[in-house]
Amino acid sequence: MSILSESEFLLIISPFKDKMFRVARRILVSLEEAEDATQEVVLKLWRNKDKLANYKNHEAYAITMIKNWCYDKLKSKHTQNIKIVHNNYEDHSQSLMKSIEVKDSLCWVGFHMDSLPSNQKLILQLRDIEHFEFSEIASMLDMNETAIRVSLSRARKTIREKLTQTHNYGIK
Amino acid sequence: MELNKIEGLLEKYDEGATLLIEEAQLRNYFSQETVPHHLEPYKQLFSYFESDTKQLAQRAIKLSTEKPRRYRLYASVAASIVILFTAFVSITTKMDNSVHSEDELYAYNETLKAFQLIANNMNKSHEALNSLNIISSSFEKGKNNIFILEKFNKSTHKIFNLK
Repeated sequence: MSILSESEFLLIISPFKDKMFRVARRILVSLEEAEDATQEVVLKLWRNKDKLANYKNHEAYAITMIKNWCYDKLKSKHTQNIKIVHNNYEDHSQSLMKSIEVKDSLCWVGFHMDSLPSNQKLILQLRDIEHFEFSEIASMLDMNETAIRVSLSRARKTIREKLTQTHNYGIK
Repeated sequence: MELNKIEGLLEKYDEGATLLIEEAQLRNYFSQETVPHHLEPYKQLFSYFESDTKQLAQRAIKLSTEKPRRYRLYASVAASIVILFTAFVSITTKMDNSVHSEDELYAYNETLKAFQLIANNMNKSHEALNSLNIISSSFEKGKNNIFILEKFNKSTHKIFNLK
């Protein structure tokens, strides 16, 4: 593979740059930090562009990179930041109690999704939002496909049950 | 699509057994305005997924790291100039204050006077000390006279011994 130019590299990255961003946002929650993470990881990919040639699936490789980067970032963070994040969501739920608008019900889904265990949350994101194949998710998370299906099933069921509860509550 | 087929797919979906194509069919089904009441939670779920897909990274990616570094250099130079300037200004203004402030000037002059007074008194006492010096020098002379007396003594002893 010949040496990539900057524009060629950006062309390769651009189809899944937003996917990287969304995965980062799912893990880190903050939009600002997700943007930072995307920038950092793309730069890292650019510096190691020779290695990129060794991977058939650039997209999956990039997602793996950003996932690892974000988890490292979370590890180095204090738990205080996570508390602030939860406070943000309480505000959402309070506004939800008052009105049953479509936008708010979507907030509920986001809230339920973010309260899932981190692995289930990530698998749900990769499958239902980013539409990756099970084999791809398996390689990204270094898990086998069966384990991923099980986690995914658990995540989908948990969210749906919670939504059914809140939905019924809204009707009654 | 028929409702029972959708329900079948949803069951598979909950088990994590649907293919990507089947999931696309479900998304397509739930993108319609109204769905049967019991499927409402699924509609929420799928429309959330759909809305999240539209969330895009806003910032443009920068590949060359040279530029920010250069900016950093300029910024540090500018910052140091600003710091030096403010330090200079604050020092000079402080000096001006000491010249202009009347109270401070008054206090300064008063202390100067006080020091002057002390210095004068010191000089006077110094003069007094001079007289002490004179005394001590006459003591010295007296001491010399004592030596003469001693010599006289010795000579008288010698005279007595001879006898």
